[in-house]
Amino acid sequence: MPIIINLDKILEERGMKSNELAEKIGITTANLSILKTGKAKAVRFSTLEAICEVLECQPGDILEYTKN
Amino acid sequence: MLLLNDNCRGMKSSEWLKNIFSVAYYLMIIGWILLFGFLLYAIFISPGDILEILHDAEEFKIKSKNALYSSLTYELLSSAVWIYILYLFKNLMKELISGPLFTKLQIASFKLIGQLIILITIVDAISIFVFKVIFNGRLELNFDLFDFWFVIGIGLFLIFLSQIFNQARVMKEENELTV
Repeated sequence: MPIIINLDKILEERGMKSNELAEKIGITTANLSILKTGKAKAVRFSTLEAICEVLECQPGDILEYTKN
Repeated sequence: MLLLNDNCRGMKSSEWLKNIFSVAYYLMIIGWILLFGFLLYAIFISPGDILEILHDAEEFKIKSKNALYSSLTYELLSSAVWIYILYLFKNLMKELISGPLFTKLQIASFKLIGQLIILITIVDAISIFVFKVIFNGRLELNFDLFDFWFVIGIGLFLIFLSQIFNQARVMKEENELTV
């Protein structure tokens, strides 16, 4: 998939663990894992908003487009 | 409350449907055994008695031993396919009621049942035509509204339903993978 999720990188920069983020944004760790591994088919604006709010970043920091 | 009532009604109708398929399935098995008994009786004991019983069959007149053996053998094969169709229906209903919806097995079952219904209906019409030609010396094709087109319609509807289920499976998967 040409959309890459840079959530791991941001989490590392912020010194935050996945389960901590999942708890703060109110989604399950299983769903966060789907997002991190690039298996997700879609991301809700509400989820993206919550992630950006907790990690204090922009959507563009999390999502990146690369050509195949 | 209204939603709960609708759900209860839905469950009841599906249970009814499942039970109807189960009863039809076991009745068909009993019928098949009786038919098989008829064939064995005709072959080994007395074909005359069976000829007497089946003389005025619905589709064509059974007058000779050959006609009797062929029609009974064909009926046995045809009934076996219908029993298999009912068996698939029975399992499908069980799966639809208890398991998760839109699985690959349900999609494949709907498609297979539809294809089998269409196939057996066409083969039925052709075989009756052939039997009439061979044993009655009559050229006659019969496509009854209920015996042929309605059953073909049901088969096509089931295939269409499998396509809908397939699309629903994709949508369900997308929904599950939306974070």
